[in-house]
Amino acid sequence: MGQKRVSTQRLNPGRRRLLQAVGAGGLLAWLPPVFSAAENAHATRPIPATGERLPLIGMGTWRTFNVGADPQLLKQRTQLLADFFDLGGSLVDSSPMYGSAEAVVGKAMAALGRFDALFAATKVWTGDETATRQSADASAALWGVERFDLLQVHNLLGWEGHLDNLRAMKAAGRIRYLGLTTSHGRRHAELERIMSGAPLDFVQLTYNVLDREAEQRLLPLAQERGIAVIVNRPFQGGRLFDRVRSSPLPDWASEAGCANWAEFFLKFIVSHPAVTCAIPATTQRAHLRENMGALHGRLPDRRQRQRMIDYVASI
Amino acid sequence: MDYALRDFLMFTPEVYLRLFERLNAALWPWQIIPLGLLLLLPTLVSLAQPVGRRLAMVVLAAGWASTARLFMQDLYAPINWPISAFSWAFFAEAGLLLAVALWSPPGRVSVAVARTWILVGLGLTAVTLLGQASWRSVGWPGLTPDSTAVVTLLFLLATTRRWRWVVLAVPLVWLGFSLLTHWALGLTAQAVLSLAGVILGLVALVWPGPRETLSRPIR
Repeated sequence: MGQKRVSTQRLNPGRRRLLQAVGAGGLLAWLPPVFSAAENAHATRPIPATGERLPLIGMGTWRTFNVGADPQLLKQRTQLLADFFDLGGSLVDSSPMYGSAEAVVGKAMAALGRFDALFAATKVWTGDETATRQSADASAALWGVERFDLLQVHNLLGWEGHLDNLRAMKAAGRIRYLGLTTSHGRRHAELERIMSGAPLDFVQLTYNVLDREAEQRLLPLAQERGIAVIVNRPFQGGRLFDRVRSSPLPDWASEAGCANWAEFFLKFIVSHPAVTCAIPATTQRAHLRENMGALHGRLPDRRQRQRMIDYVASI
Repeated sequence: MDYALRDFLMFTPEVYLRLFERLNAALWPWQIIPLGLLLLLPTLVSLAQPVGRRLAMVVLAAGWASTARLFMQDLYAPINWPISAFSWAFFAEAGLLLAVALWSPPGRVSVAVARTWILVGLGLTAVTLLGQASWRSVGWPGLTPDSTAVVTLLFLLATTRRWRWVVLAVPLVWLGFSLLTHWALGLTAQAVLSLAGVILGLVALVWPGPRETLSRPIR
């Protein structure tokens, strides 16, 4: 896999010494705004397993990239992916479950040739626990990549056998990271048990300003165990926008670094120190630009996060 | 965190409507053939000789088969997992209609009733032009599943009840599935067509149909 493009913004030496004195990096997001004024320092976050930095906002492909062989829509999705990379994105997440999405991503990547910018993340989606490699190979052929950066067990389907195989594949250099996924708040107890005992690089779960169950145990556990967290359904499949359609962005949103509702929802998520990357999905270039805006500017602190929760809950 | 119906959808409304646009663009101007056959059906089913009614069943069967191949397998199945199985059900429906044509063609139908049936079918198809669809995304009978199923159900209502249940299952199940799909996609106009089809199908379960005295002896 080619070299990944990551943000290289650095803190000034004075602020660096202060933060080092404070200690654990997990406190960074909870400090008063004046200490998070290093505007682009949070545009990426490290993967705990290696320290490799990932942009906070990635791209999901559920529904949005399942366009079959439609030439018009394929062209649009290719442009969308180009915009995504130009705006600083890297992680693209897909799955064999998503219909033709993997094939569409592959065709778009072949047209763009931006493999150096891509952090390729997909999933194994089969109950046959002996078919991990076959599934990965089939997906790799569709994506047009030699290997995946991240391979995840989709919705914990056959996770025990697949996880063993993923470890072997990682040891052989066939993948770089391994992980598990859930969504819609399903099977959190089981995920917690697995996270507590099994070495994992990534977990993917649902977390947003209304769906905060993961805050109770999974996010703290991920921090404790050094597991990166990818957040799916950051907008509840679009329902969060429906909820706020008639409501104005609060006038204090700019204090929290939010210029629009997409940044509001995404910055809430990525301001949690356990979150490595959120993966909104969209088909619209304008919406993509709004999503990627969450890579820039300040992040809300704890007080502001609570205010965001209360405001959305009140709508 | 609850599931909504649309959480199970694999594609967006845009992608779905583009399926119909792509089919129409690919086939243009040969839509004239299934439409022409559709307009011929009233004449065929009103003939005294059973051969006309057998031919009408063959035309309907051809519509199911072409829908299965051209729309469902080529366009819809790549973006929606269940469609592959439904496409084979559509082929099976074509086979059932051919079997009925061969062994027990329906009774004669008056040309006025048959023409009304065709007009209603085309009218319901035209409803899909309302809302989000453009004329490029109209789903024509004999090429796309909902309108093909609705036209078939109208035909079943106009004929005797003898073997109706045999060929009723696939259209009714498909239209129920399609109604849920359109509802989840927020495509109201398309949902009207599907809903009309479901209602027609349920009525067809109990509707006695015309009197057998219109029939001629089967040869």
